[in-house]
Amino acid sequence: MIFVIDTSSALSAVAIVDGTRVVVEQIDQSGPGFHLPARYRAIAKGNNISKIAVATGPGSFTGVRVGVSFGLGVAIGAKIPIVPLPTLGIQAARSATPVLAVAEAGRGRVYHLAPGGQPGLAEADELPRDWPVVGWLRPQTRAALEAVGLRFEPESELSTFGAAAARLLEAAPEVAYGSLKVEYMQSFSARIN
Amino acid sequence: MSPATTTLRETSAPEETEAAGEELGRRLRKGDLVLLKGELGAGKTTFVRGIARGTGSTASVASPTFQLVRVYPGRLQLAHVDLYRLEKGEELRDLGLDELLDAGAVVVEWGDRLEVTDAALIEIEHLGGDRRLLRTENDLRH
Repeated sequence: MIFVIDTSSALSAVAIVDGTRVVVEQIDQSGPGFHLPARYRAIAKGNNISKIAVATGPGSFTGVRVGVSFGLGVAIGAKIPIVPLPTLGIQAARSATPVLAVAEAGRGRVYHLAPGGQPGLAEADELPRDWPVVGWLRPQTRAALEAVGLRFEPESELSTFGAAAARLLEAAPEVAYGSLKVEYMQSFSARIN
Repeated sequence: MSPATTTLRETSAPEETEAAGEELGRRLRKGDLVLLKGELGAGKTTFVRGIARGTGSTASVASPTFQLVRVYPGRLQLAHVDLYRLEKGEELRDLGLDELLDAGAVVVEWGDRLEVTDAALIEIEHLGGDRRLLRTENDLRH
């Protein structure tokens, strides 16, 4: 069974998947209240966790680091493999049809991934409008996207987080502990002489 | 005040430099970015001490040269960043500046090492003794 962690956006999730079956999943507001160790202890107990999967961004700077650090800690401690999953790829995989996957970037901006494209960072009015939107945003960020005419795919039309992660995990490769890369994207660059 | 106007202010004691910082700190809002430039010993940290007080923080302010970032809670969270030791652009990733700006205001020593357009920019010049010249090249936009 695989323990899946995503603490990279406005909502955070943990799940246990067994093949394509979702054994359990929990989704809640991100932040210090989403206590990963307690959730791991509570839901992993009694399940034979043989692998860890973790969302590696792009997403919240602290959130991604917390998720990756915790995932690596458990994997190394239990001597089990770890698999990185793309934050936006998980959201895109929740839909059977092409969508614009988004994640919260703060300050009115979102990380986004269009079908066949590369992840980007943009404000609401810069986003492509060719696809419905899927992703976990703060209410005010979601409202900003809706205000410029973007339409969110209804939750009822989407797979759950765990089901989407299970689908991606069918093909996602394990990586060495020291090779797990966080996907960073920021609006600053350095000017160094 | 127009953001493009350069203003000059001379101070003749550390307390005055700190008071100028405090005035700026009182005006700060979430998402504001203040870049400071000036040589070692110019008084940047003294100025930041005032900014922190202006944001309502009672934390002790010290140069974060070896820590890169110090965060002072107050009416407004103030992140105090120092880029003196920044050697490679990729090291900026480890600061999480976007997230710090999402949570509060950010003041950056050696801020001229940051490539950004929408920021306040203040240069501090050591005029000798305790005298300093504060040159506000870009003010806050509000």
